[in-house]
Amino acid sequence: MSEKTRRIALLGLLAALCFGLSYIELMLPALPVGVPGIKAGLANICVVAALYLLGAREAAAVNLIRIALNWLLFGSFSGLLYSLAGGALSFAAMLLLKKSGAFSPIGVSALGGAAHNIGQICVAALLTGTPALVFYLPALLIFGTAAGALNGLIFTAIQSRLKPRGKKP
Amino acid sequence: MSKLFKRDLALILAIIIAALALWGAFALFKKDGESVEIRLRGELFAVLPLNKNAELDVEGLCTVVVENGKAFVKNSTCRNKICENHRPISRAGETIACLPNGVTLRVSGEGGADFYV
Repeated sequence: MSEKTRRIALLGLLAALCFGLSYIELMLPALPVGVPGIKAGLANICVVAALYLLGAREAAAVNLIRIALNWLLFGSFSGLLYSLAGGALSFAAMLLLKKSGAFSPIGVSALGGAAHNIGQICVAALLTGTPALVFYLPALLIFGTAAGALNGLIFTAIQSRLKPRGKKP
Repeated sequence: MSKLFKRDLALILAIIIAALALWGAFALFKKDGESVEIRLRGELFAVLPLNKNAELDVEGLCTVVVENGKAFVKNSTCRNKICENHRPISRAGETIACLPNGVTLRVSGEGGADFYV
């Protein structure tokens, strides 16, 4: 299989898996803590994977496909704005952090989770006209960072097992 | 890898510390409430303004006291006295609940994360 074919196939796989994880996440029960917007962000595992295995453009593509499919199948227009703001900020933060080369996928994904929550709360405050929504930010940041770190850990664990046997990573 | 991991950990801790600092700052700037709503078994029983000292007997179950802009509970007939031992409340959204007697106090007013999307 040529390198180009391999990359296209992997991109398609990751986008499909991303969408599958979004659907699984919809079925997870919400945490009973009285703060809306707390999610595991499982789909971000695929965006991180695309970023590390393919590149920035491919990761952006996976992210946009995820957002578009979620909007078309389960979402509303305001939901789309939330996802776009969260997705864009999260993606920009992860890209910068990865380019710095100083962090592993765990740190990259953790910051992505935090940035996602910041983006969403900003759009929510703007759309609903209630700046007091920022009171949710500290709790969201803590959960978002923890969930992001966990997703980064999952990706790291998968990546180490994906390496061909006998080759040193 | 382990060096990267240490940096990851530092980054994660930094975000969490920043979040906690933000939390503290928000708590400091939380506005004082205007009045305290007293509910008995879920039904609104009375509303007392916080700027006027008062004492109110809640059907012999306990006494709600408003003193110097803060509200607290005394003389509760419940067993565990959690409500009596709760510090006085004054900020929007703060609550005292006496679950055995079904009495709750809640400071109303703007501010605080006390609404739902």
